[in-house]
Amino acid sequence: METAAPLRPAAAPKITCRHLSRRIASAQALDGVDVTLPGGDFSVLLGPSGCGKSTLLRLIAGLDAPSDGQVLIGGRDVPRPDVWETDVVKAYTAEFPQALVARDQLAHAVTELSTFVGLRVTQVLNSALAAAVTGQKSPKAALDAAQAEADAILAAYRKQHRRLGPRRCFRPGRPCPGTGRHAETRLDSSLAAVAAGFRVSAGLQPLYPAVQTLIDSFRTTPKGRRPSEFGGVANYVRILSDPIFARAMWSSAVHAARTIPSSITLALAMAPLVQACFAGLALMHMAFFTPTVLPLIAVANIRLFFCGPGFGLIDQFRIWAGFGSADYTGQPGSALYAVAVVTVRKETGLFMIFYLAALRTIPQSLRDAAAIEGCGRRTLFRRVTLPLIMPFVSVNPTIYAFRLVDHVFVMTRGGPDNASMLLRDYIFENGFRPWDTACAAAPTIVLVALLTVVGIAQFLATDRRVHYR
Amino acid sequence: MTGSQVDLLPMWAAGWVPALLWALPLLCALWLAFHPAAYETRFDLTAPLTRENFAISWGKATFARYFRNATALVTLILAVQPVLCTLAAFAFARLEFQARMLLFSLVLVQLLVMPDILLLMNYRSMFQLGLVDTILAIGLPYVASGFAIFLLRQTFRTIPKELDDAARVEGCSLMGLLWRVYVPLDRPAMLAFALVSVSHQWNNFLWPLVVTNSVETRPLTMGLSIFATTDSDIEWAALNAATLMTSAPLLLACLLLQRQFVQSFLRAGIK
Repeated sequence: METAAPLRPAAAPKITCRHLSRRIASAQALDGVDVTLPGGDFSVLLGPSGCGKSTLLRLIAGLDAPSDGQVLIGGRDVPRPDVWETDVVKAYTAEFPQALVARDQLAHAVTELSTFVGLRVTQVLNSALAAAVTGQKSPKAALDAAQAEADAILAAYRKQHRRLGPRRCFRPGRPCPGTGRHAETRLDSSLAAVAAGFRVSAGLQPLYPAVQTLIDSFRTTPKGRRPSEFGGVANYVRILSDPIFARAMWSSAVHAARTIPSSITLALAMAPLVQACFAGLALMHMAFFTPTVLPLIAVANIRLFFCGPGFGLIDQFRIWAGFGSADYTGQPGSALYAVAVVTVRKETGLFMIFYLAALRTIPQSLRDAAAIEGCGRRTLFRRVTLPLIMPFVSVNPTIYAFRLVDHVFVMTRGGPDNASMLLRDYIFENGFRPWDTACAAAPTIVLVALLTVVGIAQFLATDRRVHYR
Repeated sequence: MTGSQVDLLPMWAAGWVPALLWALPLLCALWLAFHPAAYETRFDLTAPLTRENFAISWGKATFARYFRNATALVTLILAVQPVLCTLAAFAFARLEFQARMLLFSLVLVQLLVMPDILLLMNYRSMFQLGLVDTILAIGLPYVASGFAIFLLRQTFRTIPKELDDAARVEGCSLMGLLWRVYVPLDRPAMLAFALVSVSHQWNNFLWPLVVTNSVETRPLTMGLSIFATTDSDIEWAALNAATLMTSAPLLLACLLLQRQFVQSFLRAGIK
């Protein structure tokens, strides 16, 4: 962004922006802007589309509140408290987090739709909020009414621009959000996901999403008034030439190669322990299952207690042993390992439970027959037990390894420098967060196709080999 | 100590060392929850015990109501899910009909579709059904689980056909066959799935957040989210106390059901 030289000095108040920042949903629209506009001048704000011109102007005009920094008009800070920061609204959103979703919808309406529609949605939601806060209406009734009205406005807008569809183009090499922001992980990502869901709802026509995604992946991204048209495999060619996509593909493969064999092996290694009989077996099984039982919100916090750089238990131990501090989730070299450890930890317990269940259904007659034939324990396992449980012992981890997004999200958000970004995070980062649904289509299709081929082929292969009768 | 017990010793160690590693976060949560907030960043064996954290976290949200909602939700899931999935799995495992593999592949594909995308279509469906903000709406999208169908089908396929044939020769109807032969034998798999399914529902956050908007319908995770949204003054001790409170029923269920996995060998019928 550049400001042109002043044209004409005068006595009107000058405008000073100090370290002005604004986050809209999860996107950083402005990041620490310092600019002084001399009073009474014509100043020109230049910059490419999407660089934050409108956001800056909206902040100066007082239509939005900055996330950080301040606007001084004539040297005075004009008090413009953000309604979301007041105590009343904070208490309200604590009981009613959906209001935050509404706020993100609002942000989306303002940034993505025409100013006119955006302003109307703003008015509707703001008046609903005012009604709820002042107690004229119950929060539920107010938000329901606002939701219906906003939906109607958006529907009318979409009807008018039916041929435009989702907008914005694919941006390879988009900088990854920074790391080390452990404190703000927690709920933030979940809310971003909800907001993303709603954004998809506004962008996609109400078609079955898979079909729509498939269609989108073969069409060009509409820009402005130019409608989307058939583009062949152009989207696929584009993602294939994106180094971050290649890296995400590679990371996914590496992640799968690390976690699938280790979680299966670990789960299977517990097999002798099942036949064994000693005190505390139930407690031991429960221990393996705890990662599934503890809610993700809490797990993220507890993990910080262990891995937090500088104060976590592991780090305290490292410092005590003279190794120095290490931020496992913040280093490109170790981030994916950290994610893999957490994945294996969670999945081993899950697979073990199902493995135990599968083991229970293997007929005793087969064991007896093997014993009569003089089979050793190892042969019995390799020739009888393993083939019988194989179909669902092998398919599940494959699916899970590719599906996993929440852990990566809570732990590293794909960073640092995209080192821990897996295929699904890539889709999420490129498609849902900045609302590039059309551009997320091609990688989504790649992922689902990959899973279908690997998962179903693997399933059919193992299923055929086993004779159940 | 007898000879067999000595043999068990290495096994015992091999089991307990990883088990302790796995349970470490839970143990840590336990420690934090029962000690004053002042000790949350330093480990000290002599720290005084306290129950205050539980009182604090209980007072911060309407946990009693959330517990009732979560119980209702889990009951609903447990009442419907096994029936639907058992019927479907039985059809896929042992009945011959056209396009069976194609339909089953579709069930498998359902396992692969990202939940983030389904979230939205589910909301639309619930809205059209007029069910938004009900406990039924939280549970309904999960009553037919692709994973359960897959799992139970695999289990049904491992059940010896001889048992099936014997029951048919005795003149058992198809439903009778399912009820008397297959269901009793798939109990371990069903229990394993029920445990995972209940854990998932109990801890599910996104979907309930989207589809509900009143205290009367929201499940337990909403109570926990209060600790995660009010950034300024959360104490880990209170958060951990709340976590333990919400997870205790699941841990207990896991402990009780575990006996089922170990005891129910498939012995019946074949000699």
